[in-house]
Amino acid sequence: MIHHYPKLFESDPVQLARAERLRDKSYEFTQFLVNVLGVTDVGASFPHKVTYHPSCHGTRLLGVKNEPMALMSNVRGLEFVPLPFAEDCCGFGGTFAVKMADISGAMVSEKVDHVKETEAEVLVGLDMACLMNIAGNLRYRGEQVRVMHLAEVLAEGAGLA
Amino acid sequence: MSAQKGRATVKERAELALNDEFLVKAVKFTTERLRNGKKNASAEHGNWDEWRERGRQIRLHTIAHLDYYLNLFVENARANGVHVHFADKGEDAVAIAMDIAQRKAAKTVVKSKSMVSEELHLNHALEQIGVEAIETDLGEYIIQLAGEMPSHIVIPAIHKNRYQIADLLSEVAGEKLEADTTVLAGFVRKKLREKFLEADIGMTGCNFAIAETGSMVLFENEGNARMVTTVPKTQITLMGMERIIPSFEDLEVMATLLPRSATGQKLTMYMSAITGPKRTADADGPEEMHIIIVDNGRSLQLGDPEFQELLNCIRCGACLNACPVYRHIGGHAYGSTYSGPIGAVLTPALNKNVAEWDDIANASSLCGACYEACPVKIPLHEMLIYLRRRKVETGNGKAVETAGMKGFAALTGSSAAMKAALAIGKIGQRLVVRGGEIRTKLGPLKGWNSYRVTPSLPRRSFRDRWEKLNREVDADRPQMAPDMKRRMEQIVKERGKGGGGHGGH
Ligand code: SF4
Repeated sequence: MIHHYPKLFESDPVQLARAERLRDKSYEFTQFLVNVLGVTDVGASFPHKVTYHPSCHGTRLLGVKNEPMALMSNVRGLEFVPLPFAEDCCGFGGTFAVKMADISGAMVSEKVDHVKETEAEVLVGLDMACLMNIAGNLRYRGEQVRVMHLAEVLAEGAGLA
Repeated sequence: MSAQKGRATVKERAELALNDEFLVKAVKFTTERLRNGKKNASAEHGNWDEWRERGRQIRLHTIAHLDYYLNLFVENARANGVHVHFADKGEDAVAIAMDIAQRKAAKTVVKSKSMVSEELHLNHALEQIGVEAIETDLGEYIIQLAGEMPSHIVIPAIHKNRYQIADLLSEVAGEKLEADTTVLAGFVRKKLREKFLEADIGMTGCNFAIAETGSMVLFENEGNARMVTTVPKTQITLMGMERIIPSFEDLEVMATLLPRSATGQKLTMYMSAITGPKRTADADGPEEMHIIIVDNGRSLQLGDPEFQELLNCIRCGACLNACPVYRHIGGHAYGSTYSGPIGAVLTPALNKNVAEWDDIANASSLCGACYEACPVKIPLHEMLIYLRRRKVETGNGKAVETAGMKGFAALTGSSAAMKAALAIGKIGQRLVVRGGEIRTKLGPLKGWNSYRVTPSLPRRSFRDRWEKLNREVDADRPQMAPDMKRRMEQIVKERGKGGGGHGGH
């Protein structure tokens, strides 16, 4: 979102410069760890079966592709299971989830079907909105799969949380 | 049926589709097949993104100089002996086609590969003057029998499974046909053969029109388009004014992109380039050839920085196959000839009257799968936002939503207001929270909570913790290492090079 701010201030040079400065120092969490700090192993251990939902805006708009995998592959004991149709949107889409509730509902239900297929204990993601959406459907259906941001996995696995 | 669907709201149409188990299954099955085909074909190609960019550049260039290339095309086509007509509006195109049919005293028209004729509702008009129009693409034939609109721009009957198709065709055959693809296709082929031979006019669309030679090019798999363009004495081509590409050299790029994106094929079974009517030395071909160039709202996009790229579309259908919304609701829910992400943008864009736009631009989660799939990189996900904005700016938005957004802006625009609202929220939510979750389906939570539960506000939010966290971080903040700084600068530089899209992400 912050990466879109400059577009909003196109006609205002002062605000535009500020928006660009803000954009330039804003990074997605895993991109910052891997590409800026150069860290792929935080020394975490997380002995669980994990699957991963790559959020649309993260992958398609910010270009987060390999960074999360680089981090997860270095977590001790983490067993990774690929999510079928991983690249399909979870159906959140902001106001879409409210305005087109039935379409959005069908999308998140299918996403959760796929999560269940993996038999993972934990679903990991990088976008809190998607995670709230998917977790909401999992709980609605009484499923016990844990839903975590990758930062939480790393923190818990490194004994920080 | 289609007229009825046209009146319903997007939500009602979507609901109809969501509850149609056969439809959802059929759509998922075929879109998955197509999208996997495309994925494999583009991976196998090896240089896909570079070719996408090439395709985009060709389309951008052509559309930027459309008047020039269109003129060149028309000159060359006329020199080849083709009658070229211009139609400003849909009705004009229909009138031109009817006039030709009447002059030829035509009784039957065989048709192939024309979404434009669907856009014009031409079959209906022809029927009214007593001309039978017969669709000869298998999928089109099926939906014509069913009296429906196409629900996909490449696979018009994608929403039907083979049992439903067998039922439809059995009615025509007067006997029970087996639900086997070969049997069904064989039956249709036999049935259509008679029609080809007796047809007075052949009518097709056009995938590309080559300016330098005045040729029109068709991609197909069934061979029927070739029949349609060679057997009847008169041939009519309907083409959107944006179908032009400059040269056969450019066709090489398009022929690489189109079949791979549409079906995952390296090339379709047939690719025909038709340059004028039959010459004396030719064994077959029409004696008279017409090309109707249709505007019908297309030129409104020219010079519009937000929508001009719509004219770059090569109608491959890849955005439909990639779309998670289309996957669940199919094409009819879009309520017009063009469905899926491209339809959701194109339909309103072709109609300048914002007040007549329905809610279709809202039926998207803006996930960007369409843009990623598009072989000419049209930023449809951004265009959907422009449509929404235009609707609000012209006073055609919903009052409740506008008020809601204003409230949201007031809260998020002021730290104090946000803090106060959260404090009130924490007290208020006690009424509905059970075990850290909100499950009520009352009021605004109805839609969300029909499929999910809502998490409650945490006792201590990040905002509450921030002051302490910030102090801790500040206490031992080291200088940024030089290599880290270098990497950061490199990343910022790379970010600029997206290519395609307007967002500058
Ligand atoms: S918008 Fe792009 S992906 Fe969709 S039909 Fe047109 S060319 Fe194909």
